[in-house]
Amino acid sequence: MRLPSIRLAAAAVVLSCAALAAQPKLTITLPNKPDTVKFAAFGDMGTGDKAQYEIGTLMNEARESFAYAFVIMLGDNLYGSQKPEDFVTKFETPYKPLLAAGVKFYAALGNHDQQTNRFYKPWNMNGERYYTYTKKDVRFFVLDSDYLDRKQLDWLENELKTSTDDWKIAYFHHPLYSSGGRHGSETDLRVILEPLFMKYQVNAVFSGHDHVYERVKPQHDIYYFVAGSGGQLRAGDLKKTGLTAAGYDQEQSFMLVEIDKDAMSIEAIARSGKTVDSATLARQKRVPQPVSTSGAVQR
Amino acid sequence: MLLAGTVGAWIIAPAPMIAQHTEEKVNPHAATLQGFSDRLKAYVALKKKLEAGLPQPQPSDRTTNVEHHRTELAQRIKEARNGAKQGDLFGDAQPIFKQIVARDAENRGARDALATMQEVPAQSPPAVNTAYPEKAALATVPPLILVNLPRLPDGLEYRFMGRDLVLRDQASNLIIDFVPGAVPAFKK
Repeated sequence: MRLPSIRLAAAAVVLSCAALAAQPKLTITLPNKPDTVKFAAFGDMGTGDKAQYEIGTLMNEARESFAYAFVIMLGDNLYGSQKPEDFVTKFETPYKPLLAAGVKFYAALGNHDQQTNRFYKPWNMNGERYYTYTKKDVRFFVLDSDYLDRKQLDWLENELKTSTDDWKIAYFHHPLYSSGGRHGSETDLRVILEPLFMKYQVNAVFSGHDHVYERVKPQHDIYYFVAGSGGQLRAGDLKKTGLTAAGYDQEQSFMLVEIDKDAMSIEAIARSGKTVDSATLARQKRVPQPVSTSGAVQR
Repeated sequence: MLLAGTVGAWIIAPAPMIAQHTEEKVNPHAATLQGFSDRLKAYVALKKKLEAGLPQPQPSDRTTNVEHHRTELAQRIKEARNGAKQGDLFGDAQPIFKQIVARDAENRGARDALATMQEVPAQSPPAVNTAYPEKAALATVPPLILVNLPRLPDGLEYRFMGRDLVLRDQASNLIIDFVPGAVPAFKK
């Protein structure tokens, strides 16, 4: 008597598994136009654990329909031991299909990264703690927010000043704005960096450090994102505030970004494959703003 | 509120700027800081000599060459500075550094001050010629303190360990000097 019901149940499981397999796991909401700048963004990923590997698999899956060419790494790219073999288990293996497909990774260092990791070739830092590069009409400024000394600030100002690119995007580990309960906004950094970003018309800033996803409401006309759950997660840590435009803290996640002329579209995808945020943001039309040059640092 | 008040400001201000404000205002710490700077220059010169013949780290698919460089350089520095002790580099400038950090702490709220030191390695006291804790997160130096501390030559940096301000050689990851108790004690 029991046998048929077991068979039926087994058949139901097989059918439902087949149905799940047939369903596309990811829905890409981005415009996905040809010849646009497409990239992925995430931070705090280098744990070497299951969640990191699953995010890596999803990122590869996403690339099959949204062919991004590069990934920006927002720091804490490796946790714990950082010996040569750890680069294999905490970076090369989880992102193996992406690396094999020629996707380039551009890393910023976080507080858990050893500084010498800047010599690791696949992270394209060329031995520098901070650097800049361009993709079409977008210039990226990669900073070492762990040690923001005056030499780095002078470098940044000079690079921003001379940039004539349509889009200026800065990324580094510590967020100027964050509703994460563990760390929150890094006000020291904000006091120093925000005037430069405003003066030189930076369009968007990506950071990690808080292990959540958050799209911050534009601050002084600049878009801010926290994408610090590429492997780590602090579930329930997003204390949504007036800053929060959208956020997610229940699973690990990563971002996809597409820049097309005057628009930047973003999508945040969680470990389960669901889209947890998407938006299209217009490029800001601004006139240069003066900043105080008194030399005194004010809170 | 101005960070670090007048102390930090005039320590870092170039002499001509000071002269613009008032003719009489002379930085009484100038000679002390010059001494600190000279000692660092001597350290950097020694390190340059010790690095001779050692292949410089290059970007690579494996970080083995970087590790080798760090280990070998650290060994050479330790041998050359055998007997180096706390205060050899900071010297009589230590009170100035304490003052800069103390002023910063005064200007922060207690919560902010605690948050600032959240991930600082707790091992204390540090020791000269030993490695900065490798497994701990590299403690972020609060940028508003950093901009007020005297500039360092390339390859050296400030870090905190517990309440101590550490001078770290980046390439060798060695603690080359420190100021004990630079961070004022504050109640949680």
